[in-house]
Amino acid sequence: MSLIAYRNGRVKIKFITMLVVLIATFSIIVQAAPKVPAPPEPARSVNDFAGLLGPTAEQELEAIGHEIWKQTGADVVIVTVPSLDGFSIEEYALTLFRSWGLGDKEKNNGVLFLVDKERLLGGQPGKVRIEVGYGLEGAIPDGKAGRILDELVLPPWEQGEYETGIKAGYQALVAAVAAEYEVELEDNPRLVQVKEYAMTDSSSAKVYSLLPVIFLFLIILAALFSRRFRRLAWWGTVLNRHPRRPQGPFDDFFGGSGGFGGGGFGRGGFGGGSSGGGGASR
Amino acid sequence: MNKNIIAILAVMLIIVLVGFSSYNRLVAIDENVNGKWSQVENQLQRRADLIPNLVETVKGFAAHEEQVLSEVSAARAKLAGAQTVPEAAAADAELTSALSRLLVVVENYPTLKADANFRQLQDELAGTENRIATSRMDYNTAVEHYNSTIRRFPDMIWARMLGFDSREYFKADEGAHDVPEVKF
Repeated sequence: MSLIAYRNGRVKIKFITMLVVLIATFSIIVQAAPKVPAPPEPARSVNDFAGLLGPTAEQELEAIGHEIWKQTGADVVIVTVPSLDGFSIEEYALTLFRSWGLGDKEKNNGVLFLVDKERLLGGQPGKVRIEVGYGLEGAIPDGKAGRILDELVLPPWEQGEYETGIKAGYQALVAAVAAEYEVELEDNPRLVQVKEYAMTDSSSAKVYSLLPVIFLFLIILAALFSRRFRRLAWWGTVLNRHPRRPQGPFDDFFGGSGGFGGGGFGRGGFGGGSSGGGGASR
Repeated sequence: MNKNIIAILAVMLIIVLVGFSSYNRLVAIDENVNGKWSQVENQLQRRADLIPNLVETVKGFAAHEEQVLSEVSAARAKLAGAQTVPEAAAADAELTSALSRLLVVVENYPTLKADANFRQLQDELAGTENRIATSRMDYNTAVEHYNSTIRRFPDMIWARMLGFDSREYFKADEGAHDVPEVKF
């Protein structure tokens, strides 16, 4: 894992503030909802209302977004806005996600990457959020979304490289969706570049995947030191076993098997999917 | 047959038919409320499942912060034991408050804050809090729709008779929010 050049203090304030804000804002039953931009018709993966991306980057990312939609039917969408109009990024993201209807209605496989220019330039917390629909929470759990932001998006942003950060984050999200639907990146020239940004599973999952290997090692050691090497045949089968790929809790419910044809070349609207509020913000 | 009798029968038939459609609508709306409530319970459960892990991780770095840790565990147990919607709402507010107090305490332990495991737990916790807030909002919207439907004509005629009583919103008492001020 790369070293992170952000101050721990800033991130911590964010969480407490968020809890306070959440209690305050969601405790009333009917609240004024943020006014969000109208969804693009036909659907577009890159919606740079705040002008943070150059035309080349925009085209590049749009091509990737369109391709992942074609392959999997998932709507992985960037939206940058000039301001949140005083709403929290969580509320804004939820409203936008639902009003645009990202992801398929049944599968809820939408991902929103929302950036607020005002807070970004002001260096304030609550400037970026990755909001994930229910269907993709196995591919992009909250921890992973947080790490994508911490490791790929925030560091370039600290240097003022806003476009770089957005590009890195978006491609990491696409890579995660591709992995979920078992899309072979090497076979797809339009998607192969996102491989560079694929985020590994969480650190704890990595530890768990090591356990079987450690076990095997101990068994082999025990066998080595056992009286005489009479278990030679047994060794063969032990060494051929591979550790299981760590499975998240949602893999059994939502994991896609094989590719998913997304329909024709043209893209109508988004799929009408919803979000349950999952994801991470910074 | 007597014309009057036919007329009366016709009126009765209309009343029954309207009653049916009313009933079906009420059932659908009521079920929607149930569905949204089970989502709320899901998310509360999800947070409850995260907490032991969180407490253990914090204990690993900040063993003598026992008071706050036990407050969190106690609040979690209370939420698990809640039977009605208002009970759940109050217990939820208490747990949220205990958690934010814990996070304030964590401020004093930079090694804990830097721990990758802890940071992941924080993200998961924050994500779960957001999901709870969202599902609460969805539930309250569903309850609002239901409550206003059973009070409107013509559904109101049948509602009480058929056993559709008004349902409670998920909102905590005013005094239950006790989030500390964080000064830096």
